[in-house]
Amino acid sequence: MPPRPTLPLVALALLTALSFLLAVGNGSVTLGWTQWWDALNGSSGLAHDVVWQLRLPRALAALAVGALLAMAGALMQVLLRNPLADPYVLGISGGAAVGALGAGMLGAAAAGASLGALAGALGSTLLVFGLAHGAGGWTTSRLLLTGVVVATGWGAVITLLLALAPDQQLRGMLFWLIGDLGAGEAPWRALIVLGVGLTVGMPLARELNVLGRGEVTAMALGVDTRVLRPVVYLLASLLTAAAVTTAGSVGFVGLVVPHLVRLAAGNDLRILLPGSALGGASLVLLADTVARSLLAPMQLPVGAITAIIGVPLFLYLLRREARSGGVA
Amino acid sequence: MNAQPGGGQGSVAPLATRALSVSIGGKTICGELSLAFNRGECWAVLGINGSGKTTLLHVLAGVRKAAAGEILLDGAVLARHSRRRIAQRLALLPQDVFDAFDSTVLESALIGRHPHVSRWWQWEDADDEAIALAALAAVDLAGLTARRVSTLSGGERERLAIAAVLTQQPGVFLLDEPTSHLDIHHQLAALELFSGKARDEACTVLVSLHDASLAARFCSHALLLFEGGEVAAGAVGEVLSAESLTRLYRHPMREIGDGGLRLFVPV
Repeated sequence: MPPRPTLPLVALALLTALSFLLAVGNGSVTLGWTQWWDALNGSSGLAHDVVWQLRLPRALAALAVGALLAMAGALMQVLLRNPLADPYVLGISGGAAVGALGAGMLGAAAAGASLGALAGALGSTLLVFGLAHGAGGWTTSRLLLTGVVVATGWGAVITLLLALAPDQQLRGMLFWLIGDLGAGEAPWRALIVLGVGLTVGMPLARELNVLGRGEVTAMALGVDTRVLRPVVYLLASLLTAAAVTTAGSVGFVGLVVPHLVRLAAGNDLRILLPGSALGGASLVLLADTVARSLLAPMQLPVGAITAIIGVPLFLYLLRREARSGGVA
Repeated sequence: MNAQPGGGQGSVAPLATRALSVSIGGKTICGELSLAFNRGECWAVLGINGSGKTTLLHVLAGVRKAAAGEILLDGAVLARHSRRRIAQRLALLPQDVFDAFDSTVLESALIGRHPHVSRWWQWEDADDEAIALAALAAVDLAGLTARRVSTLSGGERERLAIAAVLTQQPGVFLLDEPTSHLDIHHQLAALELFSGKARDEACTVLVSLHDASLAARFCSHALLLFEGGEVAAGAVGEVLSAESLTRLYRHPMREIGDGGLRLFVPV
């Protein structure tokens, strides 16, 4: 039997479970054993409300957002055959944020904002992938430059929209620009999209491995790339849009997590996709717990924590790639 | 349908063209070509740089569109088969294989099982692994199965790509300059391997080469792509000569007979 590195998956699943317990167990209100008993058995009271109405939904949202972004990153990296691709770096998250914000300002309900986010994410994906694809495919520098410029453009649009909006929406600015789980968005939409992503993505994992070898080889090995590519574009955009409508533009999760999972378990998408989902869930759960506890009772946006981890790693990867001659 | 390499389907040629025209960038590579590549035949595809060897092989593999005409796989129009079905019967060895993401040598060879492994149960089984290991042994890479591909030399990578194509177990092999990165020993070994696939296992092999002597030694047939879209095709004994090669390469060529070997050298 060919080797299957399932051990890293088991370890990541345990890590996710631990991170989840840590996220639910920690916060500005410290609960004793008896209060926990009350919270889990009772139907009202402070402990009950803190656990069931604040911490649990927020932990579920963190889990879903992390898993969605990490999977989106892993998918984009295969599509572009470039380990530096990430929905935040390439401006896909920014497009989703503008789409959601724009739909919201036009008076659309939650469903409208979700559709707006999807349209924004998909539009950005097509824009970046299309513009950066010149003769000789996607070069790293062209791809990153295009992505960074598009991301900056979306950031400016968000700032403009919020400057036009009433003052009380300034808090929302932080949410869309940096990524924050403090707004109390319901986690269900993101969890459902995560389920869809895993159901659609996992059966494609081996085809994606083949796609990583390039268009001609993939077609010669029986992969219909004309179908696979659009499906994966759409899937990655959908995952990003669901994450962004729940937590704004949390950065670098799609970059950091697949990279770490690759180090531990290799490049096989059959392991990398579920591994990234678990790793992303753990990262955002832990980052949000830190964001809530570091300066408690003040709450930091979770995106600030993921950026502190992500930026040095991104620079390190870029430098290493420049030294090894680059991935075309 | 018979999934055995080269087996089944009576006398229908595994691969054939019907009035096939191929062009690239407005230049005609071949026009109205009707040829049958039969079981047990090993075809050398010869031509100067830019004569369209790669383009023709890509069109025959169905990864690139023809200008006109049809390709027949087992007697049926290739374009009507699913990509997966084509890949079960026909393998293409591209000229430059480049992996964006690293893997082990064994994982890389196992990729050839892709068209055979069930879509829903994603994993290769012990049989698939045995096939991949045998293919790696056939190209002299048996000792390197656990190595990272990124640590291999150019020649080792070329042999690994050959192993992946063998792992695919097709009836038709389309090989784009498989010898270009190989030393003399491995060039001969690779061509012996594929001519054996044709001779002993009734596979069909098309291989683009730069050395007409290797073509004369290992191939039964040759396809010459002249400039201007003219094509000469047939048994090696009829098609390969100092005159035809002189015209093909636009350089005087001389034939030297050394025992049973026909050697073609530039003057």
